[in-house]
Order: sequence, then C-alpha cells, then structure tokens
Amino acid sequence: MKIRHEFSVDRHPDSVWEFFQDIPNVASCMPGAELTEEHGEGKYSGKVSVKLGAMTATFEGQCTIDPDHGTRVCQIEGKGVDRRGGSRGQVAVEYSVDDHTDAAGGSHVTVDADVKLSGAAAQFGRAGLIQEMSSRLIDEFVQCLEAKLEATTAEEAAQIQAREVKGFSLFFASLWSTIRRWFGRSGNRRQT
Amino acid sequence: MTTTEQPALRTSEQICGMGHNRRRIEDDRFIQGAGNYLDDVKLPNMLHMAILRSPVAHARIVSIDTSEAQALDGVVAVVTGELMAQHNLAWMPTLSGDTQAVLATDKVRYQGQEVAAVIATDPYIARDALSLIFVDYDDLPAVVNPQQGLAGDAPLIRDEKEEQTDNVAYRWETGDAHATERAFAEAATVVELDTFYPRSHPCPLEPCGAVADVNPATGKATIYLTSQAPHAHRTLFALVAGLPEQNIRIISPDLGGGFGNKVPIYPGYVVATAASLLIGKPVKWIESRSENLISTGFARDYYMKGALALDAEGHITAMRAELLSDQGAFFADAQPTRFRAGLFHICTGSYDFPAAHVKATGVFTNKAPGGVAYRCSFRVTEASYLIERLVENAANQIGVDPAEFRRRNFIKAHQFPYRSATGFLYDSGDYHGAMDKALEMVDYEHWRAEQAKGPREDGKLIGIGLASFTEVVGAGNSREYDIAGLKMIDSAELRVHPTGKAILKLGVKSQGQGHETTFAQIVAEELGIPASDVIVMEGDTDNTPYGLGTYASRSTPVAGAATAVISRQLRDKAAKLAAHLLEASEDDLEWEPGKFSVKGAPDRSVTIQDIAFAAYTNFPEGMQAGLEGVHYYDPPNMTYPFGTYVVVVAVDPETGVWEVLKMVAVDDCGVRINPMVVEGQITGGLTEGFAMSNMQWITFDGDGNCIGSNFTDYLVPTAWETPRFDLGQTVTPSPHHPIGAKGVGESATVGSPAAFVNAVLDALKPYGVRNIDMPVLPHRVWEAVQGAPAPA
Repeated sequence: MKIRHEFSVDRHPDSVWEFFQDIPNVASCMPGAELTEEHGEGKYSGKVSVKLGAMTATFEGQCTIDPDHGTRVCQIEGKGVDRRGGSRGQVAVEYSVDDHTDAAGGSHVTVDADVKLSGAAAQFGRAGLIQEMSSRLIDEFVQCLEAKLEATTAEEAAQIQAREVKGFSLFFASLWSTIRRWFGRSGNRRQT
Repeated sequence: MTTTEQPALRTSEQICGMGHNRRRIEDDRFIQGAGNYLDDVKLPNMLHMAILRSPVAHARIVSIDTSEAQALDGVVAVVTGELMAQHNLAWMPTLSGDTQAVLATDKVRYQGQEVAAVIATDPYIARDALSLIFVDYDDLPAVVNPQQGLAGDAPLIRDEKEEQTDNVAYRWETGDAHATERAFAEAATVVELDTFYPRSHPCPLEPCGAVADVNPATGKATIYLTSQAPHAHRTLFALVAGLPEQNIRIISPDLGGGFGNKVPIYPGYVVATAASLLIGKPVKWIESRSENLISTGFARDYYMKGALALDAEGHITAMRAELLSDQGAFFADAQPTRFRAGLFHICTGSYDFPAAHVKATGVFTNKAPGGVAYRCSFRVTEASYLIERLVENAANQIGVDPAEFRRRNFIKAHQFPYRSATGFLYDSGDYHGAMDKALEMVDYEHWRAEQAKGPREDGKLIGIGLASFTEVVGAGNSREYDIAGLKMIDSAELRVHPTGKAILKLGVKSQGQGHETTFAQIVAEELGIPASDVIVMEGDTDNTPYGLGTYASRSTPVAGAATAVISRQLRDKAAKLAAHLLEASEDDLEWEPGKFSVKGAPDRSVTIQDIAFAAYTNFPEGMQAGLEGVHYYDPPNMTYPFGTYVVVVAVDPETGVWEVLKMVAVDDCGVRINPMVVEGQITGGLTEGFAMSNMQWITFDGDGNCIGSNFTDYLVPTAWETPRFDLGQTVTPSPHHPIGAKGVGESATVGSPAAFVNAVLDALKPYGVRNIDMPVLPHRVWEAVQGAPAPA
C-alpha cells in the first residue's frame, strides 16, 4: 500500500533537512513508536504499537536510515514483527526536501511510504480499516512533523509529540474517513 | 419410471417408514447442549497442541528458533518440520496423488501454512508459546492467481518436486474436440461467456480438530477426528504412517457441519498423532475460526471460458469449456482419481446435444490448497453454474424467452436413460415437468408482464432468473470411481436384537444431514420395525463397517441403498423363520410392513418382533441363528437429481443493491425418505447458494494475504438477510436405486447461484450487461451499469 504526503514549510530546506537528522525527535512524531536502541550507521531498534478495537499489535523490529545529504533525499527501511498476533510489517519511506517553487526560502517536503503488512493484521479487509489505519498513522506522523517544523523554538518543537492514535478513536476516525471517502470528499491524501 | 407424485405411505405413523415427516431425533441432544463434539472430548492426562502458521504467502525458511518456547513453563514439546522429517512425516500424500507439507521444512507456500506446533499442558500456554518461536523468513514473490502462475517469469512454487519445472498441477481434457470444433464452425450463433467462480469456504460452525490417543503400552491409536470419512481416513493413516490398521481406531464424534471441509486430512491431525505417539499422552488440537477460514478446505476458484454453438432454430449443437483452476500450493482435491477436474464434465447439464469438449488446467499458487467440493459433487457446482449462465445468455442473444429456450433444448423424459456428450448415463428425469411446475408456482407470466412495464415507481428493475440444474451424485461404481485407490463403495450392517429392536451401523458419517432419523426410516420401511426402535451408529471405525464416507451427496445413493438391501436380505430370512413359526410354506406367506401372514388367513400371522425372538430362540434346524447381516453396495450408476429454480429480484440501478422478491425451488431427488428433512437440506443449500451469489467473498491481496479470516470479512447469512424460499417437488425415482432415492444434500447449493445471478443480469438486460462475477455485490452491479448505454 503506497501513501504519499506533500507539504510546504516556511523554512529554508537546509534547516528542514537538519531537523530531519534528529532521529529521536522525528521518531517522537510516529504514534505509538519508541526507539529502543541505536546501533550506529543509521541502524535503530524500536517498536510500534497499534490498537484497533480488540486487536493490539506491537511490531518490534529494526530500521535503517540512509540520508543523502547532497540531494536531501532520505531512505528509511523498517521491518517489524508482532509475535503475539503473528503479523509482520514492512515499511519503506522516502522523503525529500526541496526548494519551494512558490515561496522563496521555503521548503517542499514529499513523503512516500510503502507499507506492507502480512499475517493476521493484513487479514481484515472488507471495510478497509487496516489500510485506513496505516494511512492515518502516516497522516498523524506528517502532521506532527509539520507542527514541529513550524515551532519557533527548539523547546517548543521538542514538546510537540505525536497524538495518540489508538483504540476506538482510531477505529471511529477510520470509519469516518471511510464514510467520507464513500461520499467522495477526499482530502489531499492519495492512495494507490 | 416417471411419476410426479411421492409414492403413497406404506407404513403407519407408528412404524414411520419412508415418506413420513419424522422429527429429527438427533436434535433432542443438540438443542439440549448434550451433543458430543470434538472439543467435548477430554481424556485423562490430555495435552494441548497449537500450530504456528506462516504469516507470509511465499518465503524460504532461514531458521526456526524454538528455545524460548521450549523453556516456557507448561510446554512439553515444540515440533518442527525437521523433527517430523526425522520420522519421515514432514510430507504426506494428498487425496489427489500430490504431496503436501505437514510442517514446512524448506519454505512456506501459503499464508497460514503449518510451520511448527507447541504441545503444552494447557491450551492457552500452547498458544502463548507460539509467540516465543522465532522464524526467520526470506520473502519470495507470491503467486496469487493461476494467470500469474502460468506466466513465464513466475516463481516456481513446488521446487521440491524433482520433475516439476512450472506451476502446472495438471492438464486434463475430455469430450470430442473434433466434433465440437465442427459444430462451432457450422453454428448459426456462438454464445460465449467468461466468468469466474470465486474461491469460497464451506465454513462449518465447528472447525476441524483431533484428539490423538496413542497408548504406549498397547500401541493402539484412538484418534478422535472431525472426519466426514472416518474409514477412508483410517486406511490412509495406516498407509501413510505405516501403522498397523488394526491398531488404528478413528472416532468421528458429532460434527458441527462439514460441507466438504472435513474430507481432507489436515497436517494438524498428523502432527497431533505423531506428538501423542512420541510423548505417550493424548494430544488435542482444535483450530480457531481464523485458522479454519485461512488454511483449510477452500473450494471453487475456477476461471471458466464457456461457449455454446446454436443452429438457426435455437438448438444447442455443442459446448466447449476451458478452465483455469487455482489449486493453491498443493493439489489436494478430494475427488475420483480418474477425473482431474472432478465431475466438471457434467457441464452439458440438462440439455440434449451431441458434442462437448472440456479442457482443464490446474495451477499451483501461493494460496491454501483449494478444490474441496463445498456442498458439491466434485466440481458439479462450477459445471452447473457455467451451463446455466450460458443458456441464459444464449436465450437473450437470439431473443428467445429463457424458459422457452430451455424447453426447446432439454433432454426429453422419453430419452432416459440418456448418454450425455461427455459420457454420463443419466438415470431418469423429467426436466420439462420440473420447470413447468416452478414457472407455475412463481407465476412466471405475471412477473414477465411486470418486468415489461419498465422500472417500478421506486426506479428498481425487475429481473427473473432461472436455473434448471442436473446434478450427478452417489459416487460411485467401482469401475470408475476411487479416491486415492479406495473404491467408492459403502456399507450397512443391520443387527436385529431378540426383542425386535435393531442397530444399524454405517460407513458414512452425518454432519447434520439427519442420518439417525432417516436411515432408521429405511429399515422401518423394509422390515416394519418402528423407526424409533432402530438406533443408527456411525463414525467409529472399530464398530461400523467400512465405507468411503459422507460427501458428494452419496450417503443416500450408496449407504441408503446398502441399508435397503441388507434390510431386504433380513426380510428374506425373516420369511423363512415366519414359515417355520406358522408351519406354512414360504410361498404361502404375505408381507405387510412388520408382519407375515398366511395368504387367505390373515389371523394366522407373526410380527417381525416375534420372528426376531425366534431367530435366537426357535430357529429351524439347519438355519444359522440370529437376524443380522452386512451389505456392501457397489452402485451400478450415479444418480441424477435435478430441478428448476426461479428467482425474481428488484435491482436498484442507482445503488446496485438487489433484493429477492420471490424464490421458487422445485427439486426432484427421486423418492423422498423424509420430506421434512429433504426440505431442510434444500433450505440450507439455497441459503448457501444465496450467500455465494450475494455476499461471500474471500480475496487475496497482491502479497497473498488472505482477506477473509473472520466473520466481518467472510459473511455468513443470517435469517435477516436470507430471502424466503417456496419449495416444490416432482418425484422421478432412480430406476437403479433400491428405493428410488437420488440424494439431495447438495442440489440447492449447486443449482441456485446461477438462478440468483441470472435474475440480476436479467434485470440489467436494458443496459446490455452480460456478466458480473460472484459475489454480485452492489458496487459490482453499479460499476456494470456505469458506462453502459442508458436503456431506451
């Protein structure tokens, strides 16, 4: 499942890029995510917990972050396993920070995520709730990043954390989002 | 041989022979919660097993680390494929001559495949321990449909088979290709249809399981199994595991539904038995709902390209069908060995034409093994669906009313026995009679007139769909039918006790069909012993005679015949005993159910109960004591139940939602042993047919994840969604069956899906829509209408 987000920030691309290199700060934007260990060379261990109705999945695993400072494009590969439910998740993210074409000095950020689930978590299909959930998690992640980037001081930025996306709030938000989609009022998110 | 009425009752209400609406006696214990299902089996020192299943569809297994699981308190053993391989049990043969992994050793080939098993003192500990097994998978690309499987760059799924170089499981063809081609070349009209019969699941409410109890002192293996075919399973266990057959006892307890799901041998059975053998204690394994839905007994998954050739008068002259079957990772169909595509070649259906040709290709994919005959006699469901959809399209294409088109092409009553273009010998039928009755019951003219008025006030369109199916059931004669080398005979053992009560032991096994009720009625009919005095026993291989089991609607055609024959043989002996007791010649005796009397002297009589007592206490010199016997029945032919179903729907073209306004089902299953039980079977079958056509949908995403592991995704209709069914009957006995019965369990599931789909398409005729694949979900209807030219 591929999800793309784009947003613009009124900050210089170099400064945005620098922000993205602060991994713990960025990770705090991912709902339910926790970095548990840094192994060096861009490798981290961590976990992501998601709760959907009666089902809780905690994906434990590793990710590798590979930034290209010259082009300001970064690749993140992560994979995790939820042993209790027998699910596996893989995510490949590519984000890039470009000059904003309209506003001088501003930045344009593009985030492409490819989420792949297998096992029990991938078997709930009819209502599209799992797809919606993945998409909402990325949504939340990007919104939190935007907020951090718009903060005026480092302290303020550090205080901005991912909002909790779990339990029934997510369930109903997903449901609402599904219903909204049925009636054709889609947001700026594109799914393929 | 043709009649149109059920034969008159020959027995009193008290004896309750054939034709009586005897209430199902097994229901007494079921409705009191006193049934004895597999999960009710609890043995001393019993351990519990849980299975770790693959989360991915296709991957190489790099390593399996079981150390943490093994260390968990309460865990007795962790079994992997490597351990099974040490006992030569990592692979097992399937019922179609392929091999199947018991526990994966080299790679996993579908999501849900068995990878390891934990045996623990408690079922929850066993499940918890699964999360402590670490399997490192190296993902491989997944093949999720047969088209992908045949592509040149497809990964080879069965790379462990030495001679397998592609993903083809089998290629099979039958019929006369040359004659068929010629008919198509000369045809005035060719009607074509590409359609897909989606993967579906039998979904019995009770999932599959086993309790294996191998006694270390005696070596005797008692295996409680959710089995529709306990005797066949015993013999296969003996052949596969090399266990001496006298030491294997399979007990199939009360089954909470089967529908074909409980015919295959599943890896869980084998692992539980091996574990009990190794540990020396009983081991219970019962799968969860999700495990049942993702990994056992799928059916259908057939891509069908069909065509009919018509002459200028609208007569069918030939049919051809090309099939692409998604077999999943292992070819595990339970079907007669000779026929690789099951009995699909019955696809000429109820129609009289000289030429047909069928080509089938089975393909391995990264899905659970498919091909189970879900309430179906080996692919007859797919066959019936294709021809009934084609016939409807043919009628529309040449502008003839679909009922009239059928009437023109039906096999006529005087043509029976009728040899079909693909070689079946239809035993009896009156297709015109059944259709006429259905059309009358539904008031066909009225609905056609309603339809002709155009959309209703609410904008909905009326559609009328027909299906005039012919089934082929009762496998089968030993010349043609075997499964894995086991001939498809069945048996009945009848013992009449001294007081005139009896026990009937059968090789078949009810999963809800009501055998305990109806088979006793056959004995009552033939021997005059009240049905309530006859106990029916099934499912225990140490205590019942051998047989191939209950599936493919074969219990009544085969075991029912065996029951009638053995009852008659005992009646012959009873006549000799009666002659002895009445001091009369056997030729001077008259039989009425339950009693022999001397011709012309009705007060000189003996009851069957008197005779039974004499069989053990006062038998003539030279006669062996007792009144009991066993009969093995080898059917001379299959039986061919048929019927016509008519569905009236209202389709909302704005939303795609359709509702059933009326549904009439006229079935002819020959003589009805218990009309009420027959109607129960038909009602259940129609409900399942409706579900498949209307809502049931199992899909797989591009990575091979099975979407349909739960009841929010895989819908089982309740009384709320299920329409009302009006049932009718005609009775055309089978000429070769001792009591003229044909079998009925599957007819409604076989025949009805095409009727529902035809009805929706009939409503959409103004839009020129020719096909919507099942399930006909609202969005599919809506999509089909979009882009179509607006109706005039």
